[in-house]
Amino acid sequence: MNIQPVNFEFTRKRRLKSECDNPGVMHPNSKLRYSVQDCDLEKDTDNRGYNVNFSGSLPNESGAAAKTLMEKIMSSGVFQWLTGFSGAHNVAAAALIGLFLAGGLRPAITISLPGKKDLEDKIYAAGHSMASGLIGFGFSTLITTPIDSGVKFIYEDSKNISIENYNQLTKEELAEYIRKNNLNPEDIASKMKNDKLSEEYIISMLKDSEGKNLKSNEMAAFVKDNNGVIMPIRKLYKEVIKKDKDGKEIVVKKYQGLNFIAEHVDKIHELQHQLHLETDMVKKGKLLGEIRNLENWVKGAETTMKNVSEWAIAIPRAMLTIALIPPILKYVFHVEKKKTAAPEPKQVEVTAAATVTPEEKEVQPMKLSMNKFMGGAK
Amino acid sequence: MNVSPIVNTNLNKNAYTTPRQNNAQQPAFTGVSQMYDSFGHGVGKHFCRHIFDNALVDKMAYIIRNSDNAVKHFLAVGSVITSGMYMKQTLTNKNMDKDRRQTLAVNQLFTLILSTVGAYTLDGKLKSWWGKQHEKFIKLSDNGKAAWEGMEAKNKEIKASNEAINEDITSKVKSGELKPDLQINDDKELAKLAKKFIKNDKDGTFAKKLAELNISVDDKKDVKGLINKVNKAISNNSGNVKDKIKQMVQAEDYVRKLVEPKLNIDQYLEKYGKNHVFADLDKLKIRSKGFGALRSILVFGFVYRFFVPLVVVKPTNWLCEKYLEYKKAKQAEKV
Repeated sequence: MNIQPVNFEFTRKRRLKSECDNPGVMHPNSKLRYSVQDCDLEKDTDNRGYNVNFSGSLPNESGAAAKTLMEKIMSSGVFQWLTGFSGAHNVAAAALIGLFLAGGLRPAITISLPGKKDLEDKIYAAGHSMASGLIGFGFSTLITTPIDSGVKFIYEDSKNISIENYNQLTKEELAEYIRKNNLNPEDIASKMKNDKLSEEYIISMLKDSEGKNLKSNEMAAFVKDNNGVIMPIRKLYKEVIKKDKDGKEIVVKKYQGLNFIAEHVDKIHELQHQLHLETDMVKKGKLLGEIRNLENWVKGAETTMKNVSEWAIAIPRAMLTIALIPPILKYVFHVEKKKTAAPEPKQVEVTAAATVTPEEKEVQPMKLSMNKFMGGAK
Repeated sequence: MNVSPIVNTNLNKNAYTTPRQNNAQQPAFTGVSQMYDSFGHGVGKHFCRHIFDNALVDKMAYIIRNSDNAVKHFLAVGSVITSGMYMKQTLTNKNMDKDRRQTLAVNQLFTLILSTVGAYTLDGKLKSWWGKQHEKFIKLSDNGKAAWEGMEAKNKEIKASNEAINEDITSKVKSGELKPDLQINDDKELAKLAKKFIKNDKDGTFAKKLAELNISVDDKKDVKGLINKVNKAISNNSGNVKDKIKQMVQAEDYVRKLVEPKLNIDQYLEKYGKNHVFADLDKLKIRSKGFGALRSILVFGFVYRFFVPLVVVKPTNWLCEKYLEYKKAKQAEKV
C-alpha cells in the first residue's frame, strides 16, 4: 500500500514540500513560481509548524493582491467605461470627476471634520459643494457631449481622404477596377498619358462602386489600402473660384468636411507622393519632417475641437452655478439660509461653501465675501 | 491502494486568475444608437462645422500639435477663464471697500497660480508611473496584448532603420559624399546646436558619437556636464576637435530629419491598428486615448476641485484677514 502525505494548505505561506524541492519551477496547482530565496527563507523561519507572521489573512495572496490591485481596478467594468468615456468626452469626464470629488467626497469630508460650533456652516459648505459639482457635471455633459459626437463625425469625414499608402493606380490596376465595376474602359484609357494617370481625368468621369454617378463634390480618387486592395475613396472638395486680395481670380479647394483639416490631409497626400518619388536624402528628410508636423497638426485639431468647448462654457457654467445654488440648496438639500437683519452683500462665489455663521453675517457683512471664497478654479 | 495527495487549491481560486474580460454581450440598442448617430451627424454638420472651421481653431491645433497630453492645457486655461471671471466680479463688487476687493482678488489669483502649478507638478510626477500602468491596462485584453507586442516590434524596426540611417549619413558626411546643408558660422552657433542635440538625444546616439572624440561623462543623465565638456572642447580646440564636432553636428542634423520617432500605443493603433485583426479596434483606441487623458483629468480635478478648496483656501483666507487687520491698524496709527 502506498500512502502519500496529506498536504492541506491552509495558507499560501505554507509551501508544499514538492514546491521547494524544485524552486523556480511552476507548481501545477498553485500557479506560483517559488524562488530559491523563498524556500530558503521558509526553511530558516518557518520550521515551527505554524507561521508567526500569519495574521489571519492570506499573506501571499494579499501580496499578490497588492501587486494586482491596479490591475483589478483597471479591469473593472466601471474603469473600462470611464476610460472610454474620457477618451470620447474629455470635458464631460473632467466634470464627472468633479462631480465625484466636489459633489461627494469634499462635502463628506467637510461634514466629518471636527467642530460642532460651525455645523450649520459645514452643511451649507457641503450643500454648495454638491450643487457646484452637480451643475458642473450636468451643464458640461449636456452641452459638450453632443458637440463631441458632432466633432467625431465631422473630423472623420474630413479625414476620410486620409488613407495610407496613397498610390496612383497603374493602367492594369485601373483596368481591373473598371472591369469589376462595369465602367467604361475606353473613355478612361483614352485620357491616360504616359501610363501615368492624371487624377483629375479619372475623377471627372468615374462612378462610385454602386454604379451611380458621383456628384461634383464627391469626386473619387483611388488608393490602395494596406492589403493592396484597390478602392475608390471620396475626395471631398470641389474647386471654387474666388478673388484674392489683389482682385485676381484664384481656384480655392472647398472641402465637404472641415476645410482646414481636409487641406492638411490633402497636403499630407501630396507630400507622401513626393516622398515616394524623391531620391535625395536631404529633401526626403525635409518632406518627412513636414509630413509629421502636418499629421500632428491634424491630430491636434480633434483635441482642440473637443476641449475648446470647456473654455466656451466656463463663464456661463459659473454664472449658472451661482444662480442655481440657492434653489438647489432649498429644494434638493432642504436647507435654507436664515434671513439676517443686515443687508446681504452681493456675493462672490468661487466654488461652494459659505463658512460664516449668521451671527458673523450680522456683525461683519463685508467679511462674508472673503469667507465665501473657497479657491480652486471652478 | 494508491492514495494521492489532497491539496486544497480553492484558496487560490480568485487571486491568480487572469483579469476579468468583458465578455458579456452588449445589448444592441440599434434604434437608439442610430438615432444618436444621426443626431451627432446633425450637430456636426449644422453646428460644429460652422463653429470650428476657422483659422483660430487651426492655430490652436498648431500650438498643441506636439503636446503629449493637451487635455491638461485646456483644463488649466478653462480654470483661468473661470477664476478670471470671479476676480473681475470681486474687483467690481461695490459692496466691498477697495482694500478688501483688491486683497480678495490677489488671494484668488494666488490660489489659482498655486493650484495650477501644483496640478502641473503632480501631473508631471505621475507621468512615468502612469505610463507603466498604461501598458498594464492595454495588456489586460488579448487585443491589447497583441497591439502592444505589435507596437514593440514596430519600434524595434524603427530603431534598426534609424541606426542604419545614422551610420549611412555619418559615413557619407565624413567621406564628403554628402555636403553639409547646415551653415555654422561661429563657435557660439556650433555650441548652441550641439547643446540642442545633446538635450534631445533620446537614444543616446549623439552621446556615443561624442564619446568617439573622448567627450563623455560618467553619468549618462548628466546632460549639463556633457554640454560643458563640449563647450570646453570647442573653446580649447585641441587636435582640431572643433572641426570634428562641426562635422558631427552637421551629420546629426541630417539624421534627425530622417529618423522616425518611436511610436506610443495611441500612435501605433492609429497608424497600424487596422493592419492587424484587432476586434473592437475603435474601442481599444478610444480607451487607450482615454487612459492617457484620465491622468490629467484626475490630477487637475483633484487639485482644483478637492485639495485646494479643502486645504489651501482657509489658510489663505486667514492670511488675507490678518493682512487687512494689519493694514487697518497702520491706517489708524497714521490718523
